[in-house]
Amino acid sequence: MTIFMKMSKGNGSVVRWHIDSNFSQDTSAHPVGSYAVTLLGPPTWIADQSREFNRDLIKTVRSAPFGYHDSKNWPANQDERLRERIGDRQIYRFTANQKDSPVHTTPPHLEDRIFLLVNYAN
Amino acid sequence: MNLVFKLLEAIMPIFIRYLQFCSHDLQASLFKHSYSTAFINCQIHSTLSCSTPENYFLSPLSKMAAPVPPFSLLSSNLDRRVKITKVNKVQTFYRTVFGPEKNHRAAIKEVANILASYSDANQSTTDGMIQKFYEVTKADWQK
Repeated sequence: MTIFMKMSKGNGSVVRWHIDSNFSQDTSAHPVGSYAVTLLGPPTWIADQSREFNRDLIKTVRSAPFGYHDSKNWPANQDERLRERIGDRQIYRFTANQKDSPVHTTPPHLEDRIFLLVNYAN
Repeated sequence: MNLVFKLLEAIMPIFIRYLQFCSHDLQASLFKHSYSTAFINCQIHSTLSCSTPENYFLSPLSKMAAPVPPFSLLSSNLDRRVKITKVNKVQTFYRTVFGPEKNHRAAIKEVANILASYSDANQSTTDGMIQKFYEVTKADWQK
């Protein structure tokens, strides 16, 4: 179980879209079930894979050498369109290092944030 | 010779941190060589932390879920009445607490202590909330 806590910088930050890695080179082996919840601050942004307008972003992240894509000054209206909605204190589950693992990011660092993550595997 | 070893000892953690910062892949490779199992989880966000396969997962659990849906929302939420309004003391805090099945209570308590220490959360209420987080996620994984 991992806990993340951040105090607000108040001036935003780079939005880093990425896929979590489990460091297994074989993506078909050892699927990891990750569960997360935001206890304070804005929830994680998940790029909704079913939406046409997210295809470029998802493709960019999946083809990036380290699975990262940094976006500075991402337009606010774009953010609204990109996000899959996660409610307040909503627990969600996602995979790591799979071909269809969700592309996601921590929101701009404008508010204090506390985030919990737990991984299950065998 | 002693001086050389002392120097290496001092430099090595910094060097390892540098490598971790430089590359996920390199980091993974290094640790794969260090441990017999290939299953290791390190994450790099704003701070660095790695953990060994033995202690990372809140496991062992017998269920192997496959195929695994890439993303899903659980029907259970955590209690919104447990108030947390600010982070204090730290700019950034990141820690992985191990949780083998038999020690999950200790892991939960440690996370609750961390949360209460570095925010305005109440320890007794956060402990219950994190316990619920564990129970809900474990039940979902074991489905």
